[in-house]
Amino acid sequence: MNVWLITAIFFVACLIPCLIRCMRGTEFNRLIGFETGALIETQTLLLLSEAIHREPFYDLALALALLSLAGGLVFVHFLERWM
Amino acid sequence: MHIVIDVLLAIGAGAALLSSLGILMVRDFYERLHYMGPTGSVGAVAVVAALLLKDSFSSSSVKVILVGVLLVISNSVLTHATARAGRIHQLGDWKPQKGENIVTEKASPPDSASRHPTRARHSQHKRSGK
Repeated sequence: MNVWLITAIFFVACLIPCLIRCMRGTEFNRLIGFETGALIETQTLLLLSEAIHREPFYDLALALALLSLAGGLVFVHFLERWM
Repeated sequence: MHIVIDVLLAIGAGAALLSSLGILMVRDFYERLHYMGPTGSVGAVAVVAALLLKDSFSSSSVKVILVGVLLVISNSVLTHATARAGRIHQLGDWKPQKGENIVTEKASPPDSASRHPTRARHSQHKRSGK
């Protein structure tokens, strides 16, 4: 177990408060939990790729970073327009 | 070099912990938005810097840098968009409302200072006693 894996596990633990926030409160507060969770998850994928020495897995983090930006904007637009 | 990488990873982990606990503990919506900042800016830059130091700028470094840039951009864009949507949801409009005591350029009096926006702001601060 190297330092990258330990940090990745710590990042996964940091996702628990985001998950709790996603399940409680108003829709905008849940959205904050979702967006923060996506930021932490992207860094977790980077760290896991380095921990298990699989450089092609950086593409997963890249895809998640792109899709979380687009998905967050879609959610924001929906909440602003329709809720 | 290993110490530097460990310190950068610790900074990233601390930023993630601060963000996750902040959005859980803080009660106000706008204050809670601020806690997206540490992991999206400081944490992302620290983790990307640690990866770049470890790999010594190899072929995969371009992807890592791209992920870091995307994280910083998406953090700021999503924070602004979420705050704007929350304000529209709450008040019906994102512009300053009456009685909110927000100084705008249009609200400045039509004196000589209004031709100079910076001077107008200074004169308004003086009048309000701040």
